[in-house]
Amino acid sequence: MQKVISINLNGNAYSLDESGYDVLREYLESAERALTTNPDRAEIISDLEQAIAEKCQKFLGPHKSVVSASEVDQIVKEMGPIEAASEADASGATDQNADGKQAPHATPPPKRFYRNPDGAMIAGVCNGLASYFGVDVALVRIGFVLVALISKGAGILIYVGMMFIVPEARTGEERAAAGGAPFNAKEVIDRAKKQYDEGARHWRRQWRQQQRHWRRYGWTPGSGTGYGPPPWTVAIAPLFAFVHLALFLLLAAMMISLVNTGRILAWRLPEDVPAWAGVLILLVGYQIVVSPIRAVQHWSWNLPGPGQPGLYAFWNAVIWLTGMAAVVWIGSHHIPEIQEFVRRLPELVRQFADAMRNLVTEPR
Amino acid sequence: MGLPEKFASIRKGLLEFLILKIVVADKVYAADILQRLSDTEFATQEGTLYPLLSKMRRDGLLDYEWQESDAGPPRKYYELTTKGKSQLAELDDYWKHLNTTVTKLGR
Repeated sequence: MQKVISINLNGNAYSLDESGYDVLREYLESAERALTTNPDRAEIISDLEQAIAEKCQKFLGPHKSVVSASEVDQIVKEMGPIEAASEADASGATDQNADGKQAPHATPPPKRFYRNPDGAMIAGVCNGLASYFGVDVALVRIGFVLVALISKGAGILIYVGMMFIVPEARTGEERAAAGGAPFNAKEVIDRAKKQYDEGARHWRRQWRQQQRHWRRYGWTPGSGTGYGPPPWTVAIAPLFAFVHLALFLLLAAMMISLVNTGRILAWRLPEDVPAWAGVLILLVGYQIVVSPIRAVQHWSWNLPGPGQPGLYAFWNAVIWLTGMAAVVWIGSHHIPEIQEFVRRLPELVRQFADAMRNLVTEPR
Repeated sequence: MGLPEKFASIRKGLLEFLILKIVVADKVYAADILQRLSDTEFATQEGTLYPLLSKMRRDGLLDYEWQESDAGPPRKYYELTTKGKSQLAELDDYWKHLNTTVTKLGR
């Protein structure tokens, strides 16, 4: 006597011998395995179940309500092993020319560089880079901050550039591609090149227009015709130098306070944040705050001024150098905090180097 | 290696082309496709056909609609999309081209 098992095939109930049930279950499980990467897996499985159900139907009649083991064997043999369509495609002769463009659907999608908005801090650039190279996102972010520091803020520009150039992974397919199979760097380079070309063309056009404008009307500074800054900026330009200097002194004060006492003014650095990280954060903050001022300064320097082209640059340099000289002189002679700061600096650099080394060698 | 095995991969590759040809004639049910192929050299099983049909649908070559059947649950009836039809025309041309090449080559 055989035990009978009731099964549900795509909504239809069938009774099978126990051994037949094992064979069928094994077949469907192998189908699931063969189709793991197939996006339509669930649909194909239910189609297969439907087909099996219809084959079962043929073996049943008014006086027969159980599908026997041998009949299940026969059904499974008729169904044949699951062949992923991609295999048929790869070895097939049909994908020669016309069919070629459909091939990417069947093969696993190539890995591409997308911005990944899932768990992003700003625009997902670091996130996308991390899944693209298969490294931890925190490492990428630290790397970006370092680059931003070393390049005095140019790293931030790189980030902003990537925000616009790198597409965002919106669909599930794109997100899969963001962390998918290996991919070719050529695509990214081509895309960047295209963007660059378009950008360059745009600026060349602007520049030519501007030149034409100058030829026609002449350069009349201060009259508001060109790109030059309005006259009031020239008048108050030295003010910017003072602000810049003040900010720098503030930075220096905060830095010294941080290194010597672990505090920035009244705010204490959390225990688990090392001093060197505090210094880095401070530097980045300073770069960000100061960048608009610096932009205005450069703007004014480039102004072919009314008679005194280098007036502003000259004043800026004078104020800056005087200020620096005063700070260094007073500091090294009269302020013990600065002496302390200079004494502690080598230790700080050593800690930073250690932390970086650990970051690289630590097994992840 | 028997003669049929030598062309095994070619038959496999032609399957998509043949399915296009079968489906363009009239709306068919998956079992009909197997039936049409069964007594040819291209006899195929569900395990191969279903994944291929789903891939062709993803490629936009064919689509299906559900139709009630007298015996059991509704069935998927496949038909070609416009893209499928133009693809079939291209493949047809290419196949004829291949045939001419094979015939003309050598002796």
